[in-house]
Amino acid sequence: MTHTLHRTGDTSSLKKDYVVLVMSCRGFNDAGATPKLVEALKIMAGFNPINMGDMKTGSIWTRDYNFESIVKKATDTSIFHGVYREIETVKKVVKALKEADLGMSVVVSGLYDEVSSAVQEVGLRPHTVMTSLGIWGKTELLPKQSEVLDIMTMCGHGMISRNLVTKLANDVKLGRISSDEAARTIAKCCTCGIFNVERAKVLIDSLAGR
Amino acid sequence: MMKEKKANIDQKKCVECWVCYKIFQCPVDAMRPAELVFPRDLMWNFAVPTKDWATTRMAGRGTEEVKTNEVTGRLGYGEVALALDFGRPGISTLFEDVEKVFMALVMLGVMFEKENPLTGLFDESTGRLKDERLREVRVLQPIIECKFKINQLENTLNTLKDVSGKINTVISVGLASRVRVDGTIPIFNILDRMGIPYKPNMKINLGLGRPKAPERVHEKMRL
Repeated sequence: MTHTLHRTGDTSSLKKDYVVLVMSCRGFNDAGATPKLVEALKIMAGFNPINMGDMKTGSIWTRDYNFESIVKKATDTSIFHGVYREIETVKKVVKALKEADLGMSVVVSGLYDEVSSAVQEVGLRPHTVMTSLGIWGKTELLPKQSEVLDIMTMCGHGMISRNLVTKLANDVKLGRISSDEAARTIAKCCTCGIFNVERAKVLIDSLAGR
Repeated sequence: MMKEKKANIDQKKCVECWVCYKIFQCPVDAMRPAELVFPRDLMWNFAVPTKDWATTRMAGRGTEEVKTNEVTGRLGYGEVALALDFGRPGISTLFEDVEKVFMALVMLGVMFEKENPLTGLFDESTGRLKDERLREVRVLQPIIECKFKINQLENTLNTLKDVSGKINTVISVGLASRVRVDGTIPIFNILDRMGIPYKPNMKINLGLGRPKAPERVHEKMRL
C-alpha cells in the first residue's frame, strides 16, 4: 500500500495536492474500530475535500456510490482518504483529528516541508516518512508527456490508463467534452478516492492546449 | 484484437485490473471477464486493490508498512525500508523481472516483509520463484517490501541501481525511515552523498495511532 506516494509533478502543482489517510492497525486496534474510522471520515468530510473514499469499497466518484455509501459500508479495516488543495485546510483537518483523539493512524501525503511545518503548528511531528526516489529501470516505457504521467500517478494502484488520459484530452481539444467531464471520468477509475480532480482538470487543459 | 469478426481482449496484455468491466461497464454487455483460473486469479489479486488476499487477509498489493508504524514498530531507529513497486506507473511487469531483483536483494541479506503477498511466492534463501511457471506471467503492480540497517543503504541502492538496468519494466522506488526526535531524517544525508534525488512530496505518518509500539531506546539514544 504505497498508493499515495510517487505522485509526479512540479512543486507549484503539488502545492495543491494533499492526501489525508486514516486507518486502523490490523491485529492491534482494528477490533471495534468502525465508529472511530467513521468519525474520522466525517471530520475529513467537514473540510470540503475534493475527493474521498475507502480503499476497500469506492470513492465519491465511483458509479452509483456516494458519501453515505462509504459510511454504510465502513468496516474495522476501512482505509479512508480525503484529498485537499490547500495546506491550511490540511492543518485544520489534522488538528481536528488530533483533538478527536481516536487512536487511529493518520498519514498525510504531500510536500514534506509544508506538511511538517503545518503539523508542528498543531503540536504534532512526523513519526515515520516514506519518500519517493522516483522511477528506476526502463523509463523509456513511460509516457512522454509529463501531464499524462502526473495524472496517472494520482492513482497509486495503476487503475488509470495512459490511453484513457490521452483519449479524453483529445476529446477536450476537439471540444467534445469539458476538462471537468474528462477529470470526473478518470476519477471513476480510482477506487480509493485519492485522485485530485481539480489538479487533473488543469493538467488536461494543458494537454489539450488550452 | 480481432478474431472471427469479433473484438477480443488480448489475454497476453490484459492484467485483470477489471477497470473496463467494473468502472466503465459496457451498456450492451459486450465485454466479459475471462475465467479466473491459474494464473489469472493471481494476476487479478495483484491488480484489483479492493480485495483481501486469502493468505494475508489484507487488501492491496503490499502491507500497512509505515502507515501504522507508530503502532506496529516494524521500522525502528537505525533501520530503513524499501518498497519497490514493479511496473508502476501503468507499465506492468513479468514475474521474471521481479525475480531478478529479489535474487539481488537476497544476496544482501535484507529482511523481506512476511505479510507482503509477493514474498511467499519466492524462496527467500535463493530469491528464485517457487513456481517456475510464474516467470512469464504478467502482473500489474507487485511490491517487494524489505528492511535493513541504515548502514546497508548505500550498498543496497547501488545493487538496486545495477539490477534495475537489467529489467524490462520500471520500478517506483520508495524508501522509509523513522524521523529523529530532533526532526532530522538520516537517509537524506546518504542520498545526497550518493547523488540520488528524492521527491519533495512524501508520505508522512503523524504518530497518532494507539497503542504505541515501545521505542527501542538504545537505538534512539545512539542516534
